[in-house]
Amino acid sequence: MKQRKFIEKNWGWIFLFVPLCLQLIFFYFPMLQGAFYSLTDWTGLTYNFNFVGLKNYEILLGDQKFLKAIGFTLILTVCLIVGEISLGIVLAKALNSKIKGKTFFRAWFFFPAVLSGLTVALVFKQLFNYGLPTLGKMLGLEALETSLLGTPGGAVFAVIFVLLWQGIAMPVIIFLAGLQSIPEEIREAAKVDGANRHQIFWKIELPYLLPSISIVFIMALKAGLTAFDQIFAMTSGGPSDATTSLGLLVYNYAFNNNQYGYANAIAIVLFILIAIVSFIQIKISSKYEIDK
Amino acid sequence: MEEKNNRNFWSYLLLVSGGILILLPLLYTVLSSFKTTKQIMDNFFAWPDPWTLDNYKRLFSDGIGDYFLNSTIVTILSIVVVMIFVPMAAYSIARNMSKKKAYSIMYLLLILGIFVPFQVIMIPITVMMSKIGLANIWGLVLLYLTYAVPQTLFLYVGYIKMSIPEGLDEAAQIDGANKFTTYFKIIFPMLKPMHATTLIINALWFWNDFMLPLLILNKDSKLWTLPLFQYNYTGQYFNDYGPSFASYVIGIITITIVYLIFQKNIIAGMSNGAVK
Repeated sequence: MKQRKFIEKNWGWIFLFVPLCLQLIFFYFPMLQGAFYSLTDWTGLTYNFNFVGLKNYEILLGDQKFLKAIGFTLILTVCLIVGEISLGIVLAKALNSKIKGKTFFRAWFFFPAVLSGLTVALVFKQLFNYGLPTLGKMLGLEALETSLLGTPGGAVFAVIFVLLWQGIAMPVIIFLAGLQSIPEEIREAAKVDGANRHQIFWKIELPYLLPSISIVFIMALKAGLTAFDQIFAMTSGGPSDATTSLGLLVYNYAFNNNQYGYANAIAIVLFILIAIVSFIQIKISSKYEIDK
Repeated sequence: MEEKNNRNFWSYLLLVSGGILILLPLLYTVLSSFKTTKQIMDNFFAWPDPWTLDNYKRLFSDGIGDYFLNSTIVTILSIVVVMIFVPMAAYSIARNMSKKKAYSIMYLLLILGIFVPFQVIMIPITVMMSKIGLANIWGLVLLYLTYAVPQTLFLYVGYIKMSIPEGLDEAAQIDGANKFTTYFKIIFPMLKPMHATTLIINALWFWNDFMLPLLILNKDSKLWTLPLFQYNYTGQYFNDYGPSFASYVIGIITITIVYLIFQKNIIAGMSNGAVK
């Protein structure tokens, strides 16, 4: 009886118990550890380390590899945002026109989203290494005869292409849903009033798509800032660090260079970047809710 | 009328060329998997002549069955524990957070992970898992459960607050049910639409994930999941890549079958999860 009373009184906490414990042990504890290690010179090889204060962060500011990684990560992120939003809207508009086989095309375009990013990256790695050079020789195009992944510029292009190839799937569906939510009467009314296609798009459809755009913006932003799997498999960050993203740099410093402390400092910088972005996202989306 | 036909023409052109761009890399992966490495090197774009199953034979003798099984076990176990623990916690939070401040704080604490990039905990968690002897499949399942909590909980709490009226609980309580029977018998079955969404999002993540297996399981080749195996296999057969194409096909085919069956649910579920 006593036991039953205890359960009835504390059921809320009993229901919460497991996720709460796991989060504390496997999320909050390592997070604090990571923040602490970023203030040390720990190598990860032994249990000895010295507290070095903010020295890792000072080194960061002059570290060419870090600055290069920031540069590449920003380029990648901007390309993903611009590409996913513009191509996503164009494709969604095509899908939303009065064509046959709409469901079929929709399923087709969404398909890359369910594939493993790693498998996709490996497939393209083989294509870039063995497929495109064959094509180059067949067509006599010298630029294509060596692997795209062999030159810094080519590798950057290849990484962006592959991330877009897969990343476009979800935005297309989100924009399509956005377009379908526009009441047909509004479009008809605009047509009656003599609006042309461009005016309908810019004045009616685009404002309706703004919430979808903000979702895709955030998705692409996070995907770009934390990109890892595909780059790791396709280029390992090379050649000459041209495609090393911040996410990859953390891994490389930790597990290849044994600079655990320093790598954690980079991770914290990444965290701060994402925190700022997320804060802005919350501000913007709560503004939308008020508008509604 | 003519303008309309014109516009449809451009739509078709765009969709078909986009579709081909999606299809071609996958098609050549399938074709290459039926060619010997020499055939691939001679002409990447040629049709397999003759078709060979050697790549698949080698793949199976290299133990792809075991890696496939590892992935299946990890995915199913993780899904089961997520479905047991997360909706339960969501129910507790959804019902208590308006009355007690502690629950609102717990809610924030549990969904904060959405905003934290994995790299922040990547190094400490790798060290910790091998230190406590959990650098194995069980450890991986625990981590998936932990990291699935923020988004999954967020989705469930929103759904319960919106669609499951509190009157139901009270009615059940008057009939003499305690909180446990109320939850398992009444609430849990009513969460079905949300179960579908979270199941799809999480299962695809667990099945496709590369980073966590890389960090936790890479040292012991017996424990590899399918993506980890594909990665290592490609590296291992650097100059003899016929079999690695076959390994990609195995991964792609599995997902394709699931996608063909549950296509509508998957598209709805994933965009549902993204939009919220």
